Amino acid sequence: MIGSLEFARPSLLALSLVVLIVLWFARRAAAHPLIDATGTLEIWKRATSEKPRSAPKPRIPPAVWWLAAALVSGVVALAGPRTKQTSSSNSLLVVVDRSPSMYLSDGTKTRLAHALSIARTKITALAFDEVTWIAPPYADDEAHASNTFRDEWLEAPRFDVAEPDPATYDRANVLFVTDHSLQNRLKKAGFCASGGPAVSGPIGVDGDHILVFDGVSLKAGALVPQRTVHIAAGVAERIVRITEAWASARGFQFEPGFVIAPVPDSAALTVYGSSGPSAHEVDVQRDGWNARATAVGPLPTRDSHGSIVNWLTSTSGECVVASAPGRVHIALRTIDEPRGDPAAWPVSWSRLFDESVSLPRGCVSIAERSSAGDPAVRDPGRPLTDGPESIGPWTALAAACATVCALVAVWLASSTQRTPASGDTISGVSMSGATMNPRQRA
Amino acid sequence: MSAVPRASPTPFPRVAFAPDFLARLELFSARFIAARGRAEEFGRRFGGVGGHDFIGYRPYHAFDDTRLIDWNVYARTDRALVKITRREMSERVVIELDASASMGAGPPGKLQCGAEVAAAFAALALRERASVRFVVCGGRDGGRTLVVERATRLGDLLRLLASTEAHGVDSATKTSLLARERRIVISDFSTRQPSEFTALNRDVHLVRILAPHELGLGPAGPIEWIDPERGGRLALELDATTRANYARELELELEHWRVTLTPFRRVRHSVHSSANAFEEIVRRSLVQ
Repeated sequence: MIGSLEFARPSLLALSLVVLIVLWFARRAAAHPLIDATGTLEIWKRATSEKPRSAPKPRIPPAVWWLAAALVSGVVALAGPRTKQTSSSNSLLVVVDRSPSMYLSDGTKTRLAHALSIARTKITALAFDEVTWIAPPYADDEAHASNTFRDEWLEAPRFDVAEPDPATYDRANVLFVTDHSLQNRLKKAGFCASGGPAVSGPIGVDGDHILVFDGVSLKAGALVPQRTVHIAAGVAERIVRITEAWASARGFQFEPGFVIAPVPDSAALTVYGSSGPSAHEVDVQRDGWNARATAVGPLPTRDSHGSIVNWLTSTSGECVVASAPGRVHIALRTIDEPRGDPAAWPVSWSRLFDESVSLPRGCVSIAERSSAGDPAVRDPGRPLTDGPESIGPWTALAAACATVCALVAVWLASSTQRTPASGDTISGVSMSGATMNPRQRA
Repeated sequence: MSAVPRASPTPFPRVAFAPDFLARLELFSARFIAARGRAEEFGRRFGGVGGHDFIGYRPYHAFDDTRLIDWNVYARTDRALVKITRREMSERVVIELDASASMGAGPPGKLQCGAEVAAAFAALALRERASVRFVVCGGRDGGRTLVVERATRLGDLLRLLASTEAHGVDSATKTSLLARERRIVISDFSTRQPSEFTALNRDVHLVRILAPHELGLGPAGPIEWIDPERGGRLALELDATTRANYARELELELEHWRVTLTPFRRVRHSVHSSANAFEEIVRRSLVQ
């Protein structure tokens, strides 16, 4: 770990010479004894008459060693130790927003294409050594980020995704590619915003018709095409039945037993089963119902389309049902007759399906269709190498060591000013306050 | 190994009194006399009461001994008046301060401490209406003597002390002692012997002042001791063993003084650190 350290200001390490100077002076002082007057020389002679007379060996006091350690630690702290960056410090991470608004077009090209054009110009101007790209939540692994913008990101994702959380990536050497300004939401990261006017178009479904926003008001559009609900094999029979009942009530065509990949545009909801290693008994409860079930979980926190949200957890904490727009993952093979309010069971699941069903292809919420303002650009911040913000754990550790060593040195130095202890007391002598150090004046 | 002197052979040769020293001195002497037990002790030693011719009265002051109040007058006049007397025989206190070079050791300087203690003894004696003969033994200007009979001359005494400089060797000053004279010797007794004080049939207080490092307190490390009076030198490593040996030898030296002086009940010997306040040294010396 120590070998992976580097210094922000290595030139300051030259201050270590101060330590050598201190030690040199201490050695020189130790080699030359203090000369002091005493009226009890004869007593001192008698006290040392039993010992062989040899010249006192020069010895640097322990307090000086501790002082030297404090100085070394202080110099190291000033030099700014830090862990070497695994990637080049001149590397730019580009975070691409793939929320539905990015695929709205102003008639010439999409907001994403606009933002991408601005970003590429900016990236070229910034002249980073390395540029990597991610597009959360589909591709958010920074360790395996792509070195180029993937063309597949030009296509809207099958299921709607939210824009990347600015706070997650708000750091130096990060550039957002988005459609609206993030000026007030980012402190260190930069952004390239395409801007763009409000875009009219379908925003949802109203009964049998597509609901269209024309820029001023909502109007009923074309008939909604037949949509389907797919459910995979292996899902608990009781859940299949409630899914079928819900699909029937909502006018969806129910397709049990198989899942088409990739998910077709006609699919309103796809219910996936799970193929866990072993089935086991779990107790589940939610919304006023509870039941005993056989689970093959736990479910992962994300699927191939992005993160999924836990909806049903067993009493032992195992996630057995999770959902995301357009899809539900179920890890329950069987489930017993639910207990509790008989109405709670279907209402609970129906609410899950209603919240998970995806809009027809092409529908974008009215919020996403609103104006993104003017194009905006802000350069990403650079890693700080000076100033208080660069203080890292190694610097703090070195500073703490310096403080501790300095305190020990002070304590050792002060402890040499001996106070009268029981062993020091000469019987009958008033010695209170006799703590002066004859070296103090030296 | 060459030794580089970093200190004068007598690093603290001079005396300098703080501006408030005189006030501190008067406060101490007044409080000491006023304290009941101490007043009896001190009065007995210095003949504080009795044996005087009546001259007149003056009003009673807060720090006066209540035994001095004339209660008959009080009963008649309802006024607390104190008798003014004239000494029948002169009560004299001889205070000898050693100003030899060894008294310049410290810190705190032994001569400074000794001068403060000497002034305190003088103030106490004057408050008891004794006259003080002050003798500076040794020093830059040799033996100097000052007779102080009134408290108002304490300033003269302080000026004398302030002009004293530790120098030369310690030597007993030949002073003729009268029958009722008390003798107070303030020194480190570095070259003196207890037998010098046993031949006198007098009340003698020997106040030995030693610097903290002469009491074995000091930092570890190499050091070279110098005897500022005779020029002897000793280089040694001041470690725990050496310090313990020194403490033992110092104990033997002091025990020798105690054993020698014990048969002489009128001779008292006390040892103090120069780091102590003069009030404490005087108090301990007198109530020992």
